[in-house]
Amino acid sequence: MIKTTGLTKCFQDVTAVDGLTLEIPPGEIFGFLGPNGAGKTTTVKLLTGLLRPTRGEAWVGGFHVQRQPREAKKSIGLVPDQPYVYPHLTGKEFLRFIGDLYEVDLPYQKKKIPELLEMFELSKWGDELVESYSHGMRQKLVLAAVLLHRPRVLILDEPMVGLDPKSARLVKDIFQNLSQKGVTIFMCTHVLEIAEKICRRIGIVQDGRLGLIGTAQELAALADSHGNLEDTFLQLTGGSEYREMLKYL
Amino acid sequence: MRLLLKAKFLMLKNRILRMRYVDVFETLGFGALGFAFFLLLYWGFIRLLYEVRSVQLIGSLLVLKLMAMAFLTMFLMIIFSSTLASFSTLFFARDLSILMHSPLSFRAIFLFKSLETSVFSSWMVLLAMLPFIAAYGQIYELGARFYGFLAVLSIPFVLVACALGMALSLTLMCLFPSKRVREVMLLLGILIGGALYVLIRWLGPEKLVRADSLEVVIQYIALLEAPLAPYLPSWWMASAVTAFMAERRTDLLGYAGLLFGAALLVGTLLVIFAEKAYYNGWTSAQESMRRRKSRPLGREWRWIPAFFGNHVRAMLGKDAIVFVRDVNQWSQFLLLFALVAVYLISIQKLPLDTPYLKGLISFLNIGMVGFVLASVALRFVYPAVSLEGKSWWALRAAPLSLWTILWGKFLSGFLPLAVMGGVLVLVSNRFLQVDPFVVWLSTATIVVMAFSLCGMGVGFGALFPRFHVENIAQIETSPGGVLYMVCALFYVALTLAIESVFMRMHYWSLVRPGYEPQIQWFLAAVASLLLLNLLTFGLPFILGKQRLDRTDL
Repeated sequence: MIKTTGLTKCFQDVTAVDGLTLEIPPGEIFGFLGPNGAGKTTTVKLLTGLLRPTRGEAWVGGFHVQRQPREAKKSIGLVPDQPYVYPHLTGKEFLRFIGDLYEVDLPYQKKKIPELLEMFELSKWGDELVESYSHGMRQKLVLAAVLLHRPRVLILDEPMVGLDPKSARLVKDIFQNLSQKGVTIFMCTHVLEIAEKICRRIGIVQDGRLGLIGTAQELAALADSHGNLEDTFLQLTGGSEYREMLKYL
Repeated sequence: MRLLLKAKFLMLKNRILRMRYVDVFETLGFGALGFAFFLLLYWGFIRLLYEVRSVQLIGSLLVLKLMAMAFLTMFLMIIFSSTLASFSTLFFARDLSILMHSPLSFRAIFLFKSLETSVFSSWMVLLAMLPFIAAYGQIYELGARFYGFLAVLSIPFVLVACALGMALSLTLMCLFPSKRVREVMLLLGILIGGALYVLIRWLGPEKLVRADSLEVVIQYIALLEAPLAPYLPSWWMASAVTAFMAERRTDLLGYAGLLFGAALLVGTLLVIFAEKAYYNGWTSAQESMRRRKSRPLGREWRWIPAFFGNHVRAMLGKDAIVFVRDVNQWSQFLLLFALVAVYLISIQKLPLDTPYLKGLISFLNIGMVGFVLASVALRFVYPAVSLEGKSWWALRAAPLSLWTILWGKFLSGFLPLAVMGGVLVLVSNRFLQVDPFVVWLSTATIVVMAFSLCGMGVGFGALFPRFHVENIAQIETSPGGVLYMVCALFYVALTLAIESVFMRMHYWSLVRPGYEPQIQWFLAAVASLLLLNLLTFGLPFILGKQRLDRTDL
């Protein structure tokens, strides 16, 4: 469902993503982890056609992202790292707008939009302007918009940021449910517990390169770590030295 | 305050130092173009001022009157501009959320934001005035001292105008909660419209054109000698210039003292007022707008014909809703309506008693309406792509092509622009009582102009997108916006030049019995018009699409 070969993106003299080669089959939840500035968001943008790669290729949902952008985009549901939504639209209007852009038929929209708003506890906010929404509410609105057009691939950049525990749990259940129905999920996250719990495989990226890939257990074995994913991650990305520094604070 | 200015300076420094070669070339290119436009205006003003000055007996009085009019217009424009800009900078700027939570005093924040507002709202007006000032200094051979003296005096002049604008927005924000911001803007629009009407009737420019309409020459000279709004800084500026030229040192010091004194007084009063009102105004601005009435799902853009297709319908519907709700987007419409109304009233009052004059004015009217359309397009069409702002990802991630996006933007601009241009040209033609040929020619021309200017606006907007600006004024006053306006004016002038062929044929057929129009000239004019409009519409559209395609999000 998602395939990349040698995907590279350079910004002037900085290589943000360096030769990413990856294959994620249908129905898999793939966790994409890495420290800040490692190239996760750039990868998301490359996969969704928001950026042109410097080299390499990407296919999503069986379509080449650069050569068949419309088909690829139709199969993708994107949750960006910053859920910027038109502030002067109401929640309902935004969902209608997205529904029409993705050619979702009107009767389905009429049925589904109230259900999605209800599910994300946004019903009473549906007629409010988005400018009055909190960060978490915007995140939920974008998640609702993504689910409205029934994508075959979900590409999520920090989907849990700003969500309250109940909503985070709901979103996690939704992802697992969708994955069972064959939807592929590519998720960048810093919430390692969630990645450990729901991702079948995890890739760790550092300085634009995909360093390691495997299940949480495989990564732990590779890192020679006996703890949880957080310990493994710190071991692999060199975060454990901060413990020494903390003593001086 | 020093800390804030330092941060601003550092941001500017970083922006300049981190410019890529392509940005440097772009800036230099725009600079050269701006300079060329400046020279063109300068040359035009030199010609105009020479002509006016050479009028026997009253030449110098006329020039002084022109200068007083220019200063008064400039003064009112800065007040208007700072009122609008200060809504954004004082109450809705993004950095305010950080500044207001910092341990800085409200006075320091207000002073910093006031300075920012003054720069934003005056630089463009000052720049527009520069060719006139340069030409004035040149024809009177006033030398560098004159420019230095004007530069010093323009500081209190600008500060007074900006302070008045900010005081107005501060008062409005305190009197009305932000939930009622629409009513506030409407009120502001009515005030501006009224002020403009009073200003134009006060200036009575048509009286200067037709001296013979006044009963006696003495009356005309008295009109010229009468001070124009003597209690406003604009008149003090004009008088200071006269005193400087006549080397009347005491008068000069008196007017300079008045300007600096007024700036000090108005500035102090504004700071005292702000200490009481700014915090309340800012907190009121943080309240969200009122709750929307619930509308049945599926009716959001049902009013848009289905033949546009789902994508374009959604885009048009979304743009219309956002436009109506975003006060920043439509507030300047009020000024525009006021200007159009004043234009129509002035046309009605023009003393057109000869067929030649009537024919000439009705032809120039096409250019004038074209100019209005270009200005409207700069304000509403050019920023259309940039106004997607940080939500641009939603369109780019959706399965629709850039052509569809740009086409949607074009349609949402073209329909209102064509209707507005059509109404304007039909009404002004009615006032001018022109013959049916001119009515048809001007109406058709305006519709075609609306089409091309709108395409060019969308194209230029796509060619120079600015997704991260806070204020819509920053989009239209950007180098791309200025370039668009220059090209649009050039296009209007070229259209008028080509159409003069049709007008000449028409008038010759009226005054010369048996006149046979030369068909080759007619065909050449039609072909030129077609080519001009194709290029005006198509070239920026294609280049803009290519640019957006390459733009990384």
